[in-house]
Amino acid sequence: MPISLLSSRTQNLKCGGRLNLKTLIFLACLLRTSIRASISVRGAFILESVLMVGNNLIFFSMWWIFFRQFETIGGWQINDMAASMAMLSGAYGISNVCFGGVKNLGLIILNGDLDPFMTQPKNLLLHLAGSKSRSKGWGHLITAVILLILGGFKASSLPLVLMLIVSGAVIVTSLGLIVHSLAFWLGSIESVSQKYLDSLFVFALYPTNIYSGLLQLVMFTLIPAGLIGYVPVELLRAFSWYKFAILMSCSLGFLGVACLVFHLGLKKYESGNKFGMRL
Amino acid sequence: MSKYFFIFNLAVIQSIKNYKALIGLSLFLLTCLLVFAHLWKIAAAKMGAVHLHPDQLLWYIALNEWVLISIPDIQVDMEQDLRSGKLAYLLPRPISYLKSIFFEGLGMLTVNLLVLGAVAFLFTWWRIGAFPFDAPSLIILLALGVLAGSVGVIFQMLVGISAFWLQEVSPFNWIWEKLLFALGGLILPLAVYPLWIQKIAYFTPFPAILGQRSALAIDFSFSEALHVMLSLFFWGLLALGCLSLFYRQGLKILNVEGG
Amino acid sequence: MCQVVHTMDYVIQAKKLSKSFITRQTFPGIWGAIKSLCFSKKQEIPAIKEISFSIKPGERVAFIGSNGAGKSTTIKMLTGILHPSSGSIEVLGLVPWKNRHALGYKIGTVFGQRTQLWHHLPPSDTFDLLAKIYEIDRPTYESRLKELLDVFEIEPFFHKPVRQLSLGERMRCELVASLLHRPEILFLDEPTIGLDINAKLKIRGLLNRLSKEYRITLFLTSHDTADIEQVCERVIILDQGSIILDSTLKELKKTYVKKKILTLTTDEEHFLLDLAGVKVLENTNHHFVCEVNIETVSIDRVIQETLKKTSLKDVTIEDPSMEEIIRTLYGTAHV
Repeated sequence: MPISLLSSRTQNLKCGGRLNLKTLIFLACLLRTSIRASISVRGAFILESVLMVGNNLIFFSMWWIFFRQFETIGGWQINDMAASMAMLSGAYGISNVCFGGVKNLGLIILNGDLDPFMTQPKNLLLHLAGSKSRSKGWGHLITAVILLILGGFKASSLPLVLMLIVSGAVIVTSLGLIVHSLAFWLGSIESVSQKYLDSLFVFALYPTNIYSGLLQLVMFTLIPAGLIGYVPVELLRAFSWYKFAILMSCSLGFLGVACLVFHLGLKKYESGNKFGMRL
Repeated sequence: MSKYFFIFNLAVIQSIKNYKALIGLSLFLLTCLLVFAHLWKIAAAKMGAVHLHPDQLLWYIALNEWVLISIPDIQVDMEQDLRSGKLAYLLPRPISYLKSIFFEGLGMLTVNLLVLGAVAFLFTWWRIGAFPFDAPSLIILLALGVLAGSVGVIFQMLVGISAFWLQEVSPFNWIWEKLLFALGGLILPLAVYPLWIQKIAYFTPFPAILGQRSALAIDFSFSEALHVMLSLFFWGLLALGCLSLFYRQGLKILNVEGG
Repeated sequence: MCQVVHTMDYVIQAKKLSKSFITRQTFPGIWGAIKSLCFSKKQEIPAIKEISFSIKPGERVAFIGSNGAGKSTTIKMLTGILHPSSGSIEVLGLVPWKNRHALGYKIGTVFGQRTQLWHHLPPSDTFDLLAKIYEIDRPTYESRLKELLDVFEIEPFFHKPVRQLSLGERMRCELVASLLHRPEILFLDEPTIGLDINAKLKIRGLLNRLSKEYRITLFLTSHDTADIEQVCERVIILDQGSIILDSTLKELKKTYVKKKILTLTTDEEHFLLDLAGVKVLENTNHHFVCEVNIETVSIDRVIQETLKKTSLKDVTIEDPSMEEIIRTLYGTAHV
């Protein structure tokens, strides 16, 4: 990266990109506005939330049927599966409700709709991510609550559960950001990006100890199913500070990589040589 | 007919030009192959279905994933056409909107099937080290894959048609996908489920599109292949009929209430 | 809303600004698409070629050109969205692409075809959010909003969802949104596109008022020449990446308006007028229209000669339209 462009990045960060109280106030206002926007179309809001709950429960019931016959898989029982799905649903829920703008990022980049965001003096990433709230996120959150109750979790583990869900949300959002930022370089790969992100939900339902070698490594890196499904469940079964610290570091690591990828892509956008840019 | 062939042609060109997406889909396919192969080994062992050789399972998964990932997300385009009001420009033209969407979908499907088919078959062949199909059975499997993909496109269009009523097709798309994965025998073999679920599944198009068709890799027979083909034709024609009916209803709503 | 106070001579200064883009060559057809995968070449396309201009505080500048001339590219460089290939830019003393955030507090943008209003919510919600984005304290925001609601007359629909507003109403709300933080420069990209005549007149009137009362610099691009004539005092014309004209409207008309259109309603059904410098455009049914080259013959001479042949019921003298002037300019540029 040329020094001059790096210095422009840091100058922008000094002014509007930094996280201070005013940015947090802006973020709170942004989230409030986007949630109100999603609720304002009442019919669609209710339909999407309800259908998402149905969608998740259909999926869970398939697994429930399997477990009724076979009791364990990779050492997991049905309540572990319920906990895993609750963590996932919670993570996807928070990601969709608070940072649903990430899903639009590919299209925003392709249509040149980044421009209005760029001329406003606030952290671009937060602004983009928080610019839309998706109703289906509420369906995910309701599913999480239902499954936590069905899975018989104890109220004393609520703080841990919340932290694990937030960690999962950070990873899911970061992964979405990385994958959709690829549009800066690769253009119209929306459908592939979305398939990849949706498949993460499916893969994360299986305990990753059933994999070995390269595939297990993949399950903690490229497809971090292990970090949002397996590890949280293991922590609920038997808490360990070491595993918890590793998980939190990995979440922050993913966030860091996501920010880096986005800013590299933004640099390309600013050069104007982006795929399919409209002049 | 030539204008629809032209649309098909344009969709093919567009898909080839968007080669980066094809590379992405190929990588995604390989990942799914590896992950599901692993999962199935565990599930098959659980079921006591140890007579199923892992190689056969891998071909089963390859044939499933090949068609599933190749089906384009045409319902998203239909949703966009309706929400953006583009449909209002397309309707007065001397060309059927549904047919043009269908041929566009077929164009994208063709390129995907070719590229992903090559990737899936070559990878599985390399991994296993043997090619278990003779020429006639291979041709039939490929033909059934194309037919299943086409039927998949029609069902995606059915999901897309819900945009007339709902503006957002994603809720129905999730449900369609989950049922396809579950009852199509993708996540787990259908044989895992209780008999009553298996019986229900056979009254749906999902086994024909995925599981039943791919099971020919494990145990090929011409009679079973014919059965799958007839099922696909049946479900395809039924879906076309429903599509036509819902489309006409949807147009009425459009005319009465505006875009 | 207080007037903007300027302490610098120029608010925008561009010196030898250039921008090139790299594209890939493609071939037609299915085989062409496959060929493009293997054999396409990179090409460098110059979009902007060493343009220089300076804009003073409070000026109202029209920045025009045909499609693909490079207008949007220039605006993107001025607002910090794109960085130039070479040359320098300063907007309000800042280098836009290096200080995009700092500049963001001082400029406003209105993109005619894109909205910053939240579609399903009333404009009031967007304004509240913008107050947080631009860090406007509550009392200042409330007083500014009250004034803008008055000036732009949007109080009747201020609490209606944006999706229920007409295009004209929406555009007025876009202008309010872009002015809440009291910008020193307002960049407008096709602000009257799609509006009906009345809405256009209203918007133009408001823009004029903004500039005169609040000393905001306006930088406008538009394909509608009436926008230019009724709002702007200076015009910069871009063609194929280069500036072919940078002048005030007054000078432009003086230099390029050498012809007048004379329309006469006559007593005679038609009559013969043969004068050097007069080109007859229409001559039937008591309606006589001609183009007079004022360098060759004066208007009063033409009328005198006409009065010798018929009496006049009505006389109209018009300048050629801005469109014609610009068309002439493009024609000259491409010779």
